Amino acid sequence: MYDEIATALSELDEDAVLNGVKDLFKKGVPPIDILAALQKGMETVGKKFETKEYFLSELIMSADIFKSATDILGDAFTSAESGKLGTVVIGTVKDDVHDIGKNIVATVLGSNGFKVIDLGVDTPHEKFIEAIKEYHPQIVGLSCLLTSAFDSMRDTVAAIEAAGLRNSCKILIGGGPTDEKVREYAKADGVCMSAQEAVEACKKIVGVN
Amino acid sequence: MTNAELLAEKKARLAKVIALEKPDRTPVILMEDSFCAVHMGVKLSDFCSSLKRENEVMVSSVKAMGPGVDGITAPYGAGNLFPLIFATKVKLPGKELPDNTLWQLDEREIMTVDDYDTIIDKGWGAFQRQYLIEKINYPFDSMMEQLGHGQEFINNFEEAGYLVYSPVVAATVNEQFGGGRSLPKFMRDLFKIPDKVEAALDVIQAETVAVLRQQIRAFKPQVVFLSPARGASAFFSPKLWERFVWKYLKATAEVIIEEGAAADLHIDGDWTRDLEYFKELPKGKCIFETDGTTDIYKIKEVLGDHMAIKGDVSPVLTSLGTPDEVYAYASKIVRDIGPNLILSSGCSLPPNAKVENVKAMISAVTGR
Repeated sequence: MYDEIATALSELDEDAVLNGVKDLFKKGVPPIDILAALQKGMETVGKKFETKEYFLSELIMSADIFKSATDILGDAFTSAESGKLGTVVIGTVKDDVHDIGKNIVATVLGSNGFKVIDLGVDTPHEKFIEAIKEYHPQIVGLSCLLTSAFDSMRDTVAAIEAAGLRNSCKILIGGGPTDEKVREYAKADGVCMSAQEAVEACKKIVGVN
Repeated sequence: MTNAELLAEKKARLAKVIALEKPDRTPVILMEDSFCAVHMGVKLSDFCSSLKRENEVMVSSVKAMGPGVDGITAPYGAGNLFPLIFATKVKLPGKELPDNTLWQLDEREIMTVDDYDTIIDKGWGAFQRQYLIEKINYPFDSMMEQLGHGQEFINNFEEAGYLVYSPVVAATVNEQFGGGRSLPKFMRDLFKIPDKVEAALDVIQAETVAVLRQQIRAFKPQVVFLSPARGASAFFSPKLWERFVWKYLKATAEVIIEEGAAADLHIDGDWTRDLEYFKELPKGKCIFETDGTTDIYKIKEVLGDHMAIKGDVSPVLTSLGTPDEVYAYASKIVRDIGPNLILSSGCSLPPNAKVENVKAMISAVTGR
């Protein structure tokens, strides 16, 4: 049944996934095991994305099915979260209110085993610093769509450094116009060009591959 | 040379590039709005207070860049018009945003699944007006009144000797749901209720194309801007892309061409996978406008003998680069892409582009 759920998720068969999860949950199968099957399915989705069999549309749909499936587990899903790979604090930087890309990355990271603290949009650097102190993330993700927000990215990285927290986490950037030149400008550790790249980069940072 | 003669020369130059003939030099078209405000020292809140104000500032900015510029993409800014294209709210400087923060789509799920049925039953026009006014609080009637002055705005550029590259602007119909439903919800709809989405898109397409024909007949544009920006190949699997993006993009481009204009295909994002499809459009009648995400050299390789290419000096380069870097890149694509190129920024010049960088881009054609 575990393999069937994983396969159904990788094939975006929502009904089969949800029925399978309901069935296992009723039988008293530990939520952590059900979660593992779902995450295996998400891993396959990621691989299909990398080989260009799947695209953003399939990433979004798979994450949506994953969320519906974990909703069935309810509070049991929360307690099963102890198996999380790591913590990511993510937000769109100050002066930029775009959140579609950031939300997609947060959702896909969440369905791939990361605990995601989403700070929302137009996020002042103080909020990032507070979150780093509170959640001790291994990764901080900064998003923007506007080139005029590059300065906010740079300022946020500088503020994290000034707060003495720069070495406690890796800082990744992403969003429409970001590239290696922007990463250099912002003094971040990496740039991710897609949600799946973000998953791979985060896994690498926490030593899972 | 009079401004009228200059304008005629620029239009002829552009016509040659589109027809895949050899022009006297590469045309330079600036795609810009917010940059003009910063360039002219105007607050963005002031700039986007009306289309008239945008037009005044943009004319001043283009004139300040000098006669080496052939023209500008549109006669007014894009921010105020976003809800008409994306069916979603836009936050504006001086209103929801600080005075000098760029306008931004505030994209969330405002349109519901039930709205697909309403559109199918009642038509797009009636739905759109009511939706924009009631759900988005959009000043629909005021905007229509302002758009009614379109010819005056075009004249302000043409009288100064600069062409307005695409006086008529259209978007592929998927943009309405990609914005109104939000992109993630729209994508989910494509898996869950594809037939309903397609039926609603067909209704919008039929009405949009009818209006577009009227606009082309009224303005007689050389080029019509057509944005399928959220339809990038990287966003959709091939079957979804063919059904929900290409079908409407191709049909709309064909209408533009049938009405006697060229279709400027505003291709943001990565479309590499599907470049071959563009060969289905008539030769010498389209411009592939890339923001740089789809590699311009790959576009030339696949489509270079089929359509002109516009682009693609990146916003990262114009905002963070040096004049020498911008000049080097712009000169390189002028040389390598050859007579099919219309030199421009990749998508819009950002507000924080450096003026000296924009001048460096222009000088790749006019000389330093």
